[in-house]
Amino acid sequence: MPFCGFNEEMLKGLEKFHEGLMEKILNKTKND
Amino acid sequence: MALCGFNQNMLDGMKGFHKGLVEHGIVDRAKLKNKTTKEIIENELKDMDAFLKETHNLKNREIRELIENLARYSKTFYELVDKLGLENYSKIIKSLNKIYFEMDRKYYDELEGKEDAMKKLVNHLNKMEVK
Repeated sequence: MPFCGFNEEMLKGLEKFHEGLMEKILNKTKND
Repeated sequence: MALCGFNQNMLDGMKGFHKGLVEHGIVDRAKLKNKTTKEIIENELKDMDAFLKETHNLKNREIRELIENLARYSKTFYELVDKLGLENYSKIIKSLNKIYFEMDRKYYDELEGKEDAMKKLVNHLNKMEVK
């Protein structure tokens, strides 16, 4: 597999990263 | 941009992703396959190159671009780990997070709304290095 097999930590990490990106957008929307 | 402000979730997320790439992707697999970590990295880099030659056939643009960018990111991370030494991977991960954090701090605290903000941001990033 091209990513050496995603393990749980990698998936959780990406999930958190994506959640963080969305939190920022949502916070900016609220502040505007 | 720069990245909408890296928040703690994003930094923690990147740390988990990087740790998984090294600990699971390289160290565990080296033990499992009875190979050196260097051999595993070389093999993974080859696999990633081969994969990236095929990804243009992914039909959905968003999926294609996300997967291609994730593959390129992971490949560059492995190249960096290979160059700086696998034993230093914790420091490398911290160093990357420091750069990402500083990229946003510089932009939002000092440059946002100013002339040539992005040019100045890139100049600032050019002074930083992963170590």
